[in-house]
Amino acid sequence: MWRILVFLAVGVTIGAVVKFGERQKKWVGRLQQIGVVLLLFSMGLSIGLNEEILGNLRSLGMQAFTYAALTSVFSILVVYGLSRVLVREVRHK
Amino acid sequence: MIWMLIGAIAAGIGVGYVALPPEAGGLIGELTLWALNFLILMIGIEVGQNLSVFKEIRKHGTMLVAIPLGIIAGSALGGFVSSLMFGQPASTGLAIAAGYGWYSLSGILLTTLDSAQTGAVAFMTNIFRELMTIISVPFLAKYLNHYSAIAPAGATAMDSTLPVISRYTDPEAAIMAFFSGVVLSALVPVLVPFFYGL
Repeated sequence: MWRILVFLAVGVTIGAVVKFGERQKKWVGRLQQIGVVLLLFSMGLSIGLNEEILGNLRSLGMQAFTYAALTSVFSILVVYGLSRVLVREVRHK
Repeated sequence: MIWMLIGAIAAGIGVGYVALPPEAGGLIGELTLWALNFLILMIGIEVGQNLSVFKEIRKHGTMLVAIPLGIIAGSALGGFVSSLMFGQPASTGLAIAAGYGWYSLSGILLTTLDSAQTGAVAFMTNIFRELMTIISVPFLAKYLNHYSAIAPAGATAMDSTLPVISRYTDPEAAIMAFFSGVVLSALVPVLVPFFYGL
């Protein structure tokens, strides 16, 4: 877990200090894409090795749907509430 | 792009199911970890390149900061309630919610941190979240306000859902959406492990 944060911090520092041209930026994007595809493939491998997941796919999908719906709805409500409070406040000034 | 990603998972599932012995799990885990570190490094570089968005804060005032904070709080609340419904540890629910729509990274992170099963739920959760965003933005922009239309998008507001947000809101809201997306994207690799470790 700490390794993730270290790699992130090193990356942000490199990105902030080194000026990248359009070409290098494209390469960063491409390397990211390759990384994501490889990782998802290996995530698939772990899923394929685990028969429990394959058997429960429907109930896991329902869980995921609930998580997606509730995180979206609560995000909308909180941001809407904040905008009502903060934007009105700005107008009073 | 989304089909390529789903294809990569499907191919992995196929190979894992048909061709690999169960003992291969450990080796896959080790390889995944190093590939993940490499990906995080690349994501960090991209975030570093975009640091200039923070200069926008003074121009757009408090709402610019309130939107990503509100999304973090609202998602945490939604994740917490969901975890209660399914009898899961609250830390897992908060970590799934902290994907903010970035399905590939949150799925990968939770596969590495927890298990393939939690990773699969996180992946699907955040795909659904992106789809729900695309469907709901026009209605939110019309019946609530432009700020609320940014809320479901989370981290995806800087790329995949930005076009739909910018189409149904105005240029100012699109800039705020982009900013919020950059901030949340930078926070996914920080907050998913953080919440998971609680």
